[in-house]
Amino acid sequence: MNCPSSILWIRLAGGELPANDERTAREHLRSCTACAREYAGLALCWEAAGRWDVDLGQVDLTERVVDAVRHEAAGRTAVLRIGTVAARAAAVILVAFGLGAGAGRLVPPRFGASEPMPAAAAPREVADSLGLSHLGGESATGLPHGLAGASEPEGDTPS
Amino acid sequence: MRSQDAYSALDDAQLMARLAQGERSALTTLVGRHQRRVLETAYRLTGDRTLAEDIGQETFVRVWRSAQRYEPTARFSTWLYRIVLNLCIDASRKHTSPAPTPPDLPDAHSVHASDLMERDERDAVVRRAVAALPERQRVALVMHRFVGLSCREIAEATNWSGSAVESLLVRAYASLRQTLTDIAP
Repeated sequence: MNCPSSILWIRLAGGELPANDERTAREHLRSCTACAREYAGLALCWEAAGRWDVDLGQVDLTERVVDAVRHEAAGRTAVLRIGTVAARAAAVILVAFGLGAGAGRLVPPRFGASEPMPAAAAPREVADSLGLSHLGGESATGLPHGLAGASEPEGDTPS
Repeated sequence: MRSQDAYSALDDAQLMARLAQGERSALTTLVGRHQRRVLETAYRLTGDRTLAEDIGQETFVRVWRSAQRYEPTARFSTWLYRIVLNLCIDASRKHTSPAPTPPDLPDAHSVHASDLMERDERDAVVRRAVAALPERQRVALVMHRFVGLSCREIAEATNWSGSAVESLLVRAYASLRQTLTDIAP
């Protein structure tokens, strides 16, 4: 005879089995002495354990729970308020900083009276600074030969 | 505002939905409905009445905190007792006292079945027998015998596999049966 595992009897005692399975299990108990003995021992154990009466008196947690929740909710609101104020302050600082930095970029550089606008460099000086002074004298354009365009004004020939 | 009677007509999932919307009266209804069993469970697992009350309170505070995340995919009680179990396990780990020693129980052969034990003595015997079980066996047995969770629900509440729960229950009941057989009627 194929006997079910012990867990089936535990589930039977706990009322977990669907109706069909329960019927099948009880039929097996009627025909199998070993399983019937095992189930009887489990049923006694179940019954005995069920008589463990836990007496906790008239404890009522409702008020304690409500107070705890109220307290926690108030704490969250306070944290939220502080956080909001801090966030607003930070936003104001950032905006002010951004405006200040942006304003600095938009205003053109100012030169004081003691700092005259630098004069435009003469072509010769430009050529010298570029290492191109070997290109010779100035053309009619004022640029050293070689730097002037191919179409030179009449009368000037490149060197 | 709904009257308390209106809340008592709602099932647990509906109460959780109301609680998620900020209706705290739904929480008081849930407390009233479940606190007795929660307290008994916490006491059976910890053996400490004061601790059981603290666990009970914290359980329902966590219910309130989690209301907006709660989804009724399983029975409310499975989810509720997951919270209770986590708190009991955390509490037992904080206690550094050694595991309970095997109970000093009367010899099975010397106690006659016809002798009736006083109720307090019988309770003490069962309490000590359950307390003597290894932690996981004790949890599985309390959830099954006293809370009424199925094997599948115990697995969901504890995050243990179904086969682990079944194995624990078989061993727990076998241990308990050896201890309690003689005091049964």
